[in-house]
Amino acid sequence: MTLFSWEAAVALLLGALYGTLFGSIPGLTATLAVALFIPVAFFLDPAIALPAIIAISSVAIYAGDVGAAIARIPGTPASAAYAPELYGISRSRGPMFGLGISALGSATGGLIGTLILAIGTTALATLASGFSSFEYFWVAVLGLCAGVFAAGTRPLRGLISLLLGLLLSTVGVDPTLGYVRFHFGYSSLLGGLDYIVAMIGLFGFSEVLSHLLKHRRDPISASTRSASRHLRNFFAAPLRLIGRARGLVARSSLMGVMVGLLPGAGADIGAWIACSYQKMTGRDQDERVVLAGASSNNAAVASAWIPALSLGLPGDTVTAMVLAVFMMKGITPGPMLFEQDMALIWTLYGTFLVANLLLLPACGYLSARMASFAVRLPVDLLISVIAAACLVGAYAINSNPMDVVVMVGMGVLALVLRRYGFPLAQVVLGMVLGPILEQHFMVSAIKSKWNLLAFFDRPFALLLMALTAATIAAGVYFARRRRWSEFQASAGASDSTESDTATSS
Amino acid sequence: MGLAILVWITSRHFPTLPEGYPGPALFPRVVAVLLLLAGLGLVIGGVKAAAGESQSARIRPIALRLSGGLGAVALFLLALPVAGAGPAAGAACLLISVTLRVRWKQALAATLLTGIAVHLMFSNLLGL
Repeated sequence: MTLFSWEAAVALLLGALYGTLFGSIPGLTATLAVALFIPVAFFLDPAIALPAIIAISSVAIYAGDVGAAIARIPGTPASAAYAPELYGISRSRGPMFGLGISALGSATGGLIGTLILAIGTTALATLASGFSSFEYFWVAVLGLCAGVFAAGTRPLRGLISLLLGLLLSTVGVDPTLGYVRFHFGYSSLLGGLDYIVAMIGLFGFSEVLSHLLKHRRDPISASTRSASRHLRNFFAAPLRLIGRARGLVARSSLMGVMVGLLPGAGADIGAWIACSYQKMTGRDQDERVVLAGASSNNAAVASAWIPALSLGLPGDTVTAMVLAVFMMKGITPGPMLFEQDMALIWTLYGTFLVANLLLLPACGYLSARMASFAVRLPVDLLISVIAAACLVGAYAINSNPMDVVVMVGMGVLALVLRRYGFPLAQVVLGMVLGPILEQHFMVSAIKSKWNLLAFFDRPFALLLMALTAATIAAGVYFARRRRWSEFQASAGASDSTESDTATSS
Repeated sequence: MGLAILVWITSRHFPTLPEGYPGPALFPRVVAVLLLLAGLGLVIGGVKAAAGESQSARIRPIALRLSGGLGAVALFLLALPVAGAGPAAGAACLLISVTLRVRWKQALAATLLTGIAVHLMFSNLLGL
């Protein structure tokens, strides 16, 4: 059975629609969508089951942006990196344009990731297999440093948000030694705070609380209503943007590929680093930040298959389940797979192309139409539905009422943080990277018998450390430059006001 | 800063590794120290100057709306084991709609649609 059979085409289409539905609903993730599909995959031919999984994961990762566009609720930690920007674009220029950038940026990133997957699987997998806990530690530090400076002219507030996220990540069982910390006697906190629950609270429920406190009317701009009618806002305008920012798309996709191919790192860190660099350089037009994040996370979806196919190591949770499907079907991933079943490999590459070229734009358009309908509803009504979605979404993740309480607590925390100008996305970054950072630090330290110089011994570790130092230097430089230009702009504005007053008097 | 101090105190009793090397307390304590330093930096930088928006004078309506929001959370948690996810979500949606004075026809329609959608998606498909 090939990709061009009608069974495979139906599986791809259904998989993409299923992925769109799951990704768009807060609390339902791409991983959950694939996990629920696994029992079905057991009865299917691998040439149908694997393409369907690719379609589900590629589209669901994009669909995580739909909630961010409508209500600032990111569906994935990767989407959290650019959720405020996407929400801003959707409010000012309509969700068709915002989600157009996201969908077509994701598709472009996915195509670049597929190209690299097809060309350099073996070489890149060998490179990734050379990474030890020391390198993973430095990758996490790099992600954290980039995140701090993504807070624009206020990196100190970004740092505090990040540290709060890191502290929240320490709740539950310690990832290295298994000691239980900060659970305050609640057994449901033993597993730690789920970052999807935290995201729903930080971004979604805080919006509900903020609306309840202020009860402001947040009218949709006239451009939203008119823009949503035009097909060109979804396809033509974002494609022109991608054409203009092709260097940015290529760079962000490459970052996504390089981080995504590291087993366990996944799309999240890649998207964060790409967005942070875009914000850091000061050219943080919202469109470009969204483009950077979207292209990076879908590039990482493809590159996570690199270690899975060539080494049998999962790049992320989705590819971990893919490996389970391989095992169920009696297929052994690794270098031999490329010699024995090249037809399957080509089917997978072809599926990535079809998913990114056709399915992602088509499902993206469909979801953007639904989103543009949703944002035209009265704000109070939308807030009521969002509140219910937040409650169910938080509960659905682990079927645990305690998660609803945690979600509400996160909403209150977000309200306080927003009031004092602290960024929220950095809290999520801290919660995602905290366990990775701690685990790899402790493992490396124990391995080297607490000789901390060992962190600087290995060539890749040194390279990553140099990149981290360069990120800090660039972050400080760009933050100062932006603050100076803001100061000059405000000084210029006050001068002109004074001269106007003098002229009129 | 208070949180940082609290974390430092709470992690006092965490065990250490053999030969006295730091154990599970290390990471939270390092983060707590950094948080304390960053908090100090913020205080020195003059956080008070940037302390956001003015308080609304109308406390009573805010308190009513906020209690409506938190009431919706409580209603959801109470209704969930009795009626299931769909009706619980619908009830929460209705309470928030009433709190925000949404037109009753719209509120009822949103409540029904939310309840049915949640029931189909979460209860039927995911077995919540």
